[in-house]
Amino acid sequence: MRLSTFFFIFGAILLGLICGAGYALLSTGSFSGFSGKDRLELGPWTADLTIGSTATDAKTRAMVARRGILALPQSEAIYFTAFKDSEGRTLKESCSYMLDMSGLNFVEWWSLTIYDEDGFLPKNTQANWSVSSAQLPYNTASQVILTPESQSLKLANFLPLENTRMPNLLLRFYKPDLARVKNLTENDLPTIERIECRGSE
Amino acid sequence: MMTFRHIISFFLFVLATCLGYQVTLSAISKIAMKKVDARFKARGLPVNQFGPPLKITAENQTVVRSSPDLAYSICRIDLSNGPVEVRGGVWEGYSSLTIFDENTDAIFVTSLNENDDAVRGVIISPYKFISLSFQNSGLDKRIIKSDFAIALIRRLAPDEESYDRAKLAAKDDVCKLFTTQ
Repeated sequence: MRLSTFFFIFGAILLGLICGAGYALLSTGSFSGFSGKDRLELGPWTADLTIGSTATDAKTRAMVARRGILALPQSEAIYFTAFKDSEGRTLKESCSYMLDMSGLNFVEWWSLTIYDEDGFLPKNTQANWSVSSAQLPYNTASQVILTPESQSLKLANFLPLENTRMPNLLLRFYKPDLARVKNLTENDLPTIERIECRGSE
Repeated sequence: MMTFRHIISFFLFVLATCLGYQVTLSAISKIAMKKVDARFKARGLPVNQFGPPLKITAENQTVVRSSPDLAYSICRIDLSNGPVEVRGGVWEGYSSLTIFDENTDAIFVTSLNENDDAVRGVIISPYKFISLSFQNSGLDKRIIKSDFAIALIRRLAPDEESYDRAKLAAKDDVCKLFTTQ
């Protein structure tokens, strides 16, 4: 084999390895919802039922490792994430939203948590990041309001989006009825309705 | 003009791309677990011992998408000296004890709820200590490939009052080298 042929082939292999590694990093770096084979997509909410288990595909495992490591398997918890409102618009810190939680009467315990673009709890005046079924018992008017304003009082059904760059939501169901979860429809999960936006939105 | 050299190089390029993709995906999980372990270590958590339960806030969070409604107890498991026994104290509300391996997979999960008829503990062992007798321990068993794992106990404690009770329940948490004595 001539030296030039050797370098040509070696270069192709090296380039391939770099491209493969680069694609793996890029495709798992920006988490914007789940994409595995057991993905549930219901309106603005997505979940992957294989998270945390050995059945998880390599890409979902890597994505979760970077954006939600140490997640529970489906027997313990189901995680629904939302990055957009029910009309498909990206959630914004400068807007207010209303979520109707009254349909969640089929889960024993749920919680709704806000995170920033890096998946961390934002620093807000009231140290208030989540609402749960314990604070908002089931009734026909269970609503959660996300608001861009900082709160002077910690209210049970208000979550501030203060200091939350590119907000995203995580809806947790603990000890879910898996048969029920697998048959969920878009109507069973809360709609995320944009109320208004500040500034030029 | 396409030569034999070009065709071979193209196929090797495609093969190397697939290989690079798969190897990197696998490495991401392992590296992420090592990073998490390093953060826990930096927080002062020793190996084979549960740290005090922690309620997550914007100020103390080290793991992405942690829940502020839970009290987390963490044990960094080091199996280099033999199997490790992990047990959790009972809790009245939602709770779980989970063992994560180096790939981030949950290899064991159980409830710590007082009403659940569950085995509230497990013995984790690497392959090299598999010959040790785990019989009559009353605990579940898991064999893993590496010497490293993380045990995580979650207790639902959305308010200060339940968090105080979680701290009391955590006194019964156990993470220690397993002995047959």
